[in-house]
Amino acid sequence: MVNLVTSDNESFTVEKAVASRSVLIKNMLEDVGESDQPIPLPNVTASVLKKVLEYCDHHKNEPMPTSEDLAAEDTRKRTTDIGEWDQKFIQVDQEMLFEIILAANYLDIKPLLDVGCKTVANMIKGKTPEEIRKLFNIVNDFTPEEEAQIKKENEWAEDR
Amino acid sequence: MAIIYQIPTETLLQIFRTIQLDNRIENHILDDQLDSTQILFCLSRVCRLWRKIIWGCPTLWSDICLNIGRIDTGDVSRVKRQATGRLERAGGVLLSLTILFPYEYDEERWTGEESAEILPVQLANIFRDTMSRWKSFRMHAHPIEIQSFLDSCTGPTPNLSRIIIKLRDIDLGGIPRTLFIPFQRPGGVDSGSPVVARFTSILPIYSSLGTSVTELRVNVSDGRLRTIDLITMLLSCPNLIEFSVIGEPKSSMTGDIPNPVVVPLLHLVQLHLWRIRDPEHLLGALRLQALQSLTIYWVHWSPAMQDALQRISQTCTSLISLDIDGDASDTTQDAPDFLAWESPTFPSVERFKLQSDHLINLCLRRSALSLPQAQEFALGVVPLDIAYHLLSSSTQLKSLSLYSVNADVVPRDAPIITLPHLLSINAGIYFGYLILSYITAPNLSELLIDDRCVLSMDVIRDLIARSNPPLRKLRLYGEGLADADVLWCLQRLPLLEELEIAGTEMSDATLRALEAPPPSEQGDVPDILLPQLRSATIGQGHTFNEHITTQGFAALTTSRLTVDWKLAFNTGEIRAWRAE
Repeated sequence: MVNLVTSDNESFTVEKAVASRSVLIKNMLEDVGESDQPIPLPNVTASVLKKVLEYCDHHKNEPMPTSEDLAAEDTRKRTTDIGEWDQKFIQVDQEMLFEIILAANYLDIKPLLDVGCKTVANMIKGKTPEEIRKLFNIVNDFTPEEEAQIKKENEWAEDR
Repeated sequence: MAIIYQIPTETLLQIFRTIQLDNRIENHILDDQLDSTQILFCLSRVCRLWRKIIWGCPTLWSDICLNIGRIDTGDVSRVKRQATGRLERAGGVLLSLTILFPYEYDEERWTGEESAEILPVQLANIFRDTMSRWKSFRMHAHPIEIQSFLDSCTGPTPNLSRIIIKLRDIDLGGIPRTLFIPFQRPGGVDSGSPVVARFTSILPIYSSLGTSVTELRVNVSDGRLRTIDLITMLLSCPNLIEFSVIGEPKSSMTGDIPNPVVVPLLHLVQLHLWRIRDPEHLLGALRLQALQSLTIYWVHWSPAMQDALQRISQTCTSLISLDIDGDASDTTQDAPDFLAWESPTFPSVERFKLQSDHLINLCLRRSALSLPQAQEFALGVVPLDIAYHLLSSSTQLKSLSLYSVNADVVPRDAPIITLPHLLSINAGIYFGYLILSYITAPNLSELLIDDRCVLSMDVIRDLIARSNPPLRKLRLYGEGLADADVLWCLQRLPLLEELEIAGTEMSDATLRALEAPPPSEQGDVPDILLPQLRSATIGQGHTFNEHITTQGFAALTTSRLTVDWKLAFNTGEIRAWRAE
């Protein structure tokens, strides 16, 4: 078993197979060898780690993606297809979604990062810039002059 | 600050790339959607940060798509400006180049005002210097446009891994049959990525790049396919691993070749010949030592075809999958004079799929085909006697699928075949199940019977009684299936975990038999039918059954909560409700 400690000082004891879905933790475990020392995760809160571990537990028996798998992510399948279980898993509020993406990135869990990115991509698809800003609470920080310039550039680039 | 701003740039780029790629895949048939530039423009207008990331990442702009049909036709300078601008945005990264000419060819359209060269040549002049960075090349155009472009694009393409060329606005009388591809790979097969190639309406003849082509698919449905052209093409790509050619069913006759030619394809593993009526001429020329999978679809059976397969059976010792599909539309009753097909044995084939026709059946009836190592059979449109002979020579069989069995000829006094390894039977429409009269399958774990006709339950009962199989999954769909038949089967199959049954004569009696009775007063739990059942579907689609009631189904489901129940019948109540 492995003991993980979150940024808000909560401990999680999990199977090694579950924790090792994170390449970061897997490498740490390999570096320190057999040890009871808790592993600090200063960039992850308890609520997010709980969710991440739920994902890792569900996928613990699947083979880890190899470099060939990653290279094979080509145009043969729809890139935004998400498995049924993963879809339900990732039905969370926007803040949690981005927290999961940040945690997956920090913990180096590529399949979870992919699920997060695909979910955000699906949210963005088909929307106008204004709709995207509204969705993610992004401020339009272009000056009117810049807006005019962008419009001109786009017209030139589209050039129809 | 919005939380999305905390996402690292690399992750944001991954999201943008996902949107870009997904758009291409979803819409890959439509020219308009092959160009992902509009998505990038849209995203770059969200905020300064996104704009900086998108415009600062050349790989996002590396998919260059010139959809010339969308640009004001005839404005050559505008097309050239787009081509140059897109190349600049892509910097020095590897490129995926797509050039789509308008659907209709107009000879006069692209003669530039400032140059005597036609547009394809001018575009080639712009892109030629980047050939060493081409990762993918796609062009949809008229043969003259393609040839003009390619004639000006001779040179090394060390990074090319994908070529797609599709002819447009073809004048059937005038098109060339072959297209010379001048892309080079001077270092040979080991000097770069393997190349996947797709061609529509034309056959490629490669320059030195041909040695790197490992996967080739040509779709030539205009009826102008000739064996000699196919052979010339294949000689230019000798290291193929997968090759498929698709013709047009009625007219793709490739014809014989005047002189014998040998085409060694020593690495070819998969060969698919679709809708070529006389593939025997091509098959006769090929040397296929490594072949593992052969598909011949819509073939017109002939003695020459028989000879070609005979040679393959003797020389392709690693062939494990054989798929033959006859010409169902050929109703000719005048069969050619078949010579006996001597010892038609495929000793290494494990998967055999046959959709037969009149001529193939005639041949197989005269010369019994033998597949001693076969583990999977999928047989369609075969007479019962031929199916019987195939099974009798394939005692290693694990999976059997059968449909449209012609039962006119029944083996007389034929002994029962024991298939000790058979795990799955899938008998589809039109008497596929009749073969069950002639087999014993003591280890059968899956029996799926889905016939549109009235089932002869004696056949199924006999199989179960004879085999006493440890069945885990049972599907019984058929007209006239009644409670007594269903219950007889279920009582003899205590290991069933999955059940799908639909019969128009079934009633709540079957449901009641499946219910779990309440514990006795002494607290003893009585035996239940199918104690290991995990899922069950009662009914099929929207078939109507007035003997099954929703009350009966509700009583069943509440008595056994551990089973995943589905009711797929329209019941009497539903009919009554509709009538009101």
